[in-house]
Amino acid sequence: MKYFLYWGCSLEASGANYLKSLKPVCELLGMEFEEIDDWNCCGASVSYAGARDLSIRVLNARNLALAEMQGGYDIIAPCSSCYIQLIRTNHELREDEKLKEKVNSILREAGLTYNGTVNVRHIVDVLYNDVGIDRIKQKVTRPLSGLKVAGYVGCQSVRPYGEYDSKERPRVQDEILKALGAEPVKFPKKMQCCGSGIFLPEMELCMGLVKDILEDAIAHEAKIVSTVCPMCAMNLELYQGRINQLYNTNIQIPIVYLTQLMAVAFGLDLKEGAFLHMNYIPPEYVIKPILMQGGDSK
Amino acid sequence: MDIMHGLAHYAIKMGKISRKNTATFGQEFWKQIYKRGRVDEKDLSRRYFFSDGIVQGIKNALSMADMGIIMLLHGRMKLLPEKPIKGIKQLRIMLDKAEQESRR
Repeated sequence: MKYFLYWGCSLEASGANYLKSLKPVCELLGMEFEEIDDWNCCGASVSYAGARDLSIRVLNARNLALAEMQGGYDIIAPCSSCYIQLIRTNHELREDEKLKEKVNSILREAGLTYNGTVNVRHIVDVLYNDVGIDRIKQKVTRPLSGLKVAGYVGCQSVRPYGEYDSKERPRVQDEILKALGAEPVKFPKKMQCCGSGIFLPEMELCMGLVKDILEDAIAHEAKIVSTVCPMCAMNLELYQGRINQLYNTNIQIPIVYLTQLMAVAFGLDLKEGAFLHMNYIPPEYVIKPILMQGGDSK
Repeated sequence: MDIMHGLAHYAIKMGKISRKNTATFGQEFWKQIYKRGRVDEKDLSRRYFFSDGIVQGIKNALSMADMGIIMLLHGRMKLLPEKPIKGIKQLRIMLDKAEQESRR
């Protein structure tokens, strides 16, 4: 199973614990990755405020064209913003011949062309549909039995292009959590927007969104929240102190990437495999008691 | 498209403009892409904080210093500046052409 892993800008910085935990987990599952040579930023979710639509399409078409030229493997985007930008461009270029010709006329300035042959997929899609729940279960050596997890989906990964899951009642992340032995909780705000890339300029507004999401997860007995997007993870985790100050609340719940929980369940080291020490709100105080119940204190 | 950004795209198509802070952030974000082909998160934040001048920039930076320290201490901030991609000159040519085409 060979793919291009398009990790984007955030996974090299604020989302570094995502990339670091994703790689060993996927390696254990038999996935092989290549990097798209000389990839560029996707424009993320805030580019609409700084650039025109055609420029954003060209930006993403360059990555698609490079991937097509360098082997044509499916592109996996672990970041939901990267995913939606790449898949949106891919859909539009496949469906709109005039737009494709216009974009290609611009790509040709750099000797590139895109024929529309590359598939763009979210990491959750690949884990569920290519790797499969059975294989994930086979790799579990430290089941997360009894760990109540809020599998936060956010709003960019399944709407409107994520055909791998329900757009209204997504369940794929929860199925993976169950395969790890965890107990996914139902919480109505699992798809509410967290503010994504405009958290910094619209902080007060976005803190209200995050407060609602976290309070909902806690009210439904979650002890930890898992995400599959670096923007969601940063917004849900790093602003909890400010939210408590602003709203006089006492929210404190660890936020982890799904791949970090997979690394724990697969028996990888909590530091060198799951990279839990890179999280601001320590997930260990929730995870270690679960592991100790199972007779593992590593 | 997610709700917030879907609405934002729609509003811009309808001739509305982004709120000032979001517009400034979006423009700084795009400048990063045009400059390097990739975004340097710490440089983006710094440029956004100082977009209203030095005095306001210092106030902004100090108010968010705790977050920067958290990111740094947890290995979630790149220390070195982001280098431009190899094809940055060609990317700029493409983006310039896209901008011209959009204005027609």
